[in-house]
Amino acid sequence: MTNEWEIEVHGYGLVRISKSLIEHLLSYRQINSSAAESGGVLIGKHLNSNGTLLIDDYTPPQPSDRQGRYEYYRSDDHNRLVQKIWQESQRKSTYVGLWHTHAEPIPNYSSVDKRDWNIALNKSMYEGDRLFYFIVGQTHIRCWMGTKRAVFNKIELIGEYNANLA
Amino acid sequence: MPNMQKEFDTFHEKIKLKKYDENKDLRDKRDLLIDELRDALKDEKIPGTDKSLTFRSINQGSYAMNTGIRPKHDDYDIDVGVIFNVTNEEYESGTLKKLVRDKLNKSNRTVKYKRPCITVEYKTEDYHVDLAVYSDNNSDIHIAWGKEFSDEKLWYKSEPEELTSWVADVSTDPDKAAQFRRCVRFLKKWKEKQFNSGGNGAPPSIGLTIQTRKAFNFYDKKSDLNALITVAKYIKDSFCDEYDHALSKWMKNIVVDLPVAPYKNVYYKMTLIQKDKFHEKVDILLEALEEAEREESAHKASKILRNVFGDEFPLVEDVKEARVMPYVTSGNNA
Ligand SMILES: [Zn+2]
Repeated sequence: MTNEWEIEVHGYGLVRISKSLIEHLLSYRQINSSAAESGGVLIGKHLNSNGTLLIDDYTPPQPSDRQGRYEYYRSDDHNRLVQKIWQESQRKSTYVGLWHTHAEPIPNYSSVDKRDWNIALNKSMYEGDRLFYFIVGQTHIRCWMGTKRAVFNKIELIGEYNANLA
Repeated sequence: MPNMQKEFDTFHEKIKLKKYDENKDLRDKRDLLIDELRDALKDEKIPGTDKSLTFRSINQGSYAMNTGIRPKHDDYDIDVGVIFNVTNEEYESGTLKKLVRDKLNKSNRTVKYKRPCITVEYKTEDYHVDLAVYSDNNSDIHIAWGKEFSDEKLWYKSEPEELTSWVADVSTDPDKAAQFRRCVRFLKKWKEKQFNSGGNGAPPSIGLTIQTRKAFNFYDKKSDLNALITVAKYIKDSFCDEYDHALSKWMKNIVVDLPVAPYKNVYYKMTLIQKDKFHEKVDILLEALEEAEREESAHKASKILRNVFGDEFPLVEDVKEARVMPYVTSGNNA
């Protein structure tokens, strides 16, 4: 519980991100000039108390993914992994969002990212009506929240984690 | 009911103190002091003879038994025994103990003459050494017992190595022996959380170790919780009623003899009131363990166990079941 990244989301509640997940994701940072983009799925637990959501696991890049300097393709294997995790955890751990890296210090999403996130909100299956998206930059991780709506989905920046201050 | 074994395993990893052979730092500190003592005594002769005074050193206490927990305030306790090649007639116990004290008394440290040992404390270090002084006495080991200015100073028959082996020999089954050591460590954390430190209010760790060892006829390989319930029941049942005339009421007393010489009660330092309080706390411990065992929710069970052992015991999150089977789309990022 120590040194978690906590984001209070108005109208939703407290989102907790475990220290060990942050450490794992930071290890994929594109710091040297040849490092490729990585990505995968965020896994979390919906809580009854002590917060609303705990994001504490992820799927790492799979051999079937494509990883370039400025592009990343997330394959179907992530789906298979997530369903297995959900089953083996007695439905406690599940899909709560997506993550990928950027070769810039403080990341911003691209139009390709936004399209992927909207497809995820509309076509994927998840608990509730929200998904969380991390982009792991070279110095900061930023977190957006997507809310599924009838007409236009809402995607908003909700938090920023400075790896240099940790 | 949740098994909680994963949480017990995590907890144990957090609290356990590594053995000497895994902890070079403490081993070096121990050897440094022993070498220093050996060097300081190299010209010393046994009085009335031309025989050199020599000793061999042994590990004792929780390091030797592999039942140590990491100290709360990083004050590591190194227990060693030094067994001298003398008979009980060649030295008075106090004379030899004083010699050891004087040889080690230097400015960077405080050296204390205590009843069972000489304690070396360092002003700027995170450890202290308890050095018990023994006579080999022709393989009939005695400990130099008693405070410096007390009349009760004597050679006391003692079997420190036998005690260590008695504890280590709990089982030939390595899984069972490991569970025994985990249970001892859990009880030490319970003691740390439930009793005020300092003074004789808390039962000594060696008492808890011996009782756990004796209770360990039954165990549950898959559940430290069930093993602990067995141990707590055993300890609770080892108390007996005693009428206290001064207080005009029935109290709980406990007598557990060391399994080796000098076979004295390991709880000898505790007053009847303290032992009665000890009983009360064991009773609460047993109730809490049984409640955790009956509890359906792992979250609630983990909260009960955190009350018993402190916050190093992991909290199981209060997780909602995710009914929707997840499906993750594939996709591109840039
Ligand atoms: Zn991107």
